[in-house]
Amino acid sequence: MTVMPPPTSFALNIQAFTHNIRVHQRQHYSDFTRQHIINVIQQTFPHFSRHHNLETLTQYADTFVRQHHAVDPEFHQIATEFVRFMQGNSIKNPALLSLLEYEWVLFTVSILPSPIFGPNTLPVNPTLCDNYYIYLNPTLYCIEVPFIVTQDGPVFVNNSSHHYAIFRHFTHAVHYKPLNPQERYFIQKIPETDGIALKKWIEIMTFLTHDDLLAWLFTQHQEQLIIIDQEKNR
Amino acid sequence: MRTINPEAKGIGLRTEHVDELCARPPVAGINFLELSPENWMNLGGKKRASLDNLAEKYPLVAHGLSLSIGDTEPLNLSFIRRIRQFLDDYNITWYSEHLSFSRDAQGYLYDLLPIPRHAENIPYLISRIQHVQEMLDRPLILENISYYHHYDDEIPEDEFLIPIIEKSECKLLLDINNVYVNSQNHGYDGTAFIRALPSSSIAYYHIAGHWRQNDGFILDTHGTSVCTAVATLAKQTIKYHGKRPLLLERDHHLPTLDDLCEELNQL
Repeated sequence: MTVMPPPTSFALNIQAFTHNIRVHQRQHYSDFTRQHIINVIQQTFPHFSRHHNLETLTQYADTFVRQHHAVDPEFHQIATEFVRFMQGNSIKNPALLSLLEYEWVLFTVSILPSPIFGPNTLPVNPTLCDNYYIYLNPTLYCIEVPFIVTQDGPVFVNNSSHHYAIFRHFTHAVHYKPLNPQERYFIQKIPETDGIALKKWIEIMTFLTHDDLLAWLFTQHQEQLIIIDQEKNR
Repeated sequence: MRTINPEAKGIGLRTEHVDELCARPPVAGINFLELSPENWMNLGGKKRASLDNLAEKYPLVAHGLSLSIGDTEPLNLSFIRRIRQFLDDYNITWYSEHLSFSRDAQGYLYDLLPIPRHAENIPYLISRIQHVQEMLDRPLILENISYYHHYDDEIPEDEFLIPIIEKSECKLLLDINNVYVNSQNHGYDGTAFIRALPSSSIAYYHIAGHWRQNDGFILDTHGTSVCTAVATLAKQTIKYHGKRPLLLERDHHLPTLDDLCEELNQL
């Protein structure tokens, strides 16, 4: 079935109407739209919002409505659309853009469709088994941010950058873990989707003892940063 | 597939009530839950687990927000396919949307905007509705929206709405509060409007509260209890068209779940 084309007057009518909404000249609809976007910003990005007064958030919302081409219809995508918009605009403080992106990662990790199951029980030495693989948690984001993440949220302490792993636990809680350079290297050596044979991964890590590597793997498997599993189960 | 009988009453699923609804056994008086797919589809984590929990306990009705059936851009086919998948995954028979638009050439505005009520727009809208129904393999159930804007030379609401429903063979979600709000704001007889609608096309009813400004203008806020005038209009509606499932909408100033159920039971 084909859809007939719209009458020209139809398109002109609604384009004129929405133009007035976007430039805030239709009181009710402009106000609804503005408030909706502000609510999304405040609920999804609470730390970012705390760094701005309502007037600034309103300016962001108005500019977003006026300029941004939002392509995703799902309501949870409004947050993503807002981040895209802010990335494309010269936000004066790049640290605050990082804060916005960090909160977007927390939000995204919390809702990514990938199911996370509880950690399975491993043999005492899985390296003796040929078929064990290491996989990254499918919700994992590794980020570099200009602040320290604490239980109470991000804290700007100096100008240095900090690395974290953000991922979802099988309990649905979003976890964060500071990553040192060695751990970043460990993670880099695990292909994002296909994983890597455990034996092969250990062979690459020549600078740590077998026992130290296994200890790290077991700990991170329990924490669910990584998943160690038999290949046939994936 | 669980059925929703004409006596059924339901509430709109709001985030603030999700944990309690998940924790409790099915709440007496809530016969179904209505949710917006745009807030739930293609998600994992806690939201997915909560939805799976609720789908075990309650029949679900999907009430969409972003279909934008009345815009002049090509239908978002990818989105409609995702909706279809969501409905199939959760065994949802009823998918309602709004006779409105939410997108222009620039993109989505995430609001329900009124369509120009011009006779020449009706065939175009019918063809879009039929296309969506074919893709979804379900009748589309369209809601009469509240509106705060007039285009030039519009025809009356019933003269616009009824041919769309009848010729597209879609169903109607009759929002009784919206009829009241529009009739008050735009000066027409809400009862006569309701009486003109085809009974056989009405799938279910919405009822809600609104906010009257100091100047008398009413906003469809879903932020208060249902007022006496809307409850009376609902009684007249049921007397004329018969019982249908009734959904109490509440989006702002949410009461506790028990208080909302109390209001639902009193309707």
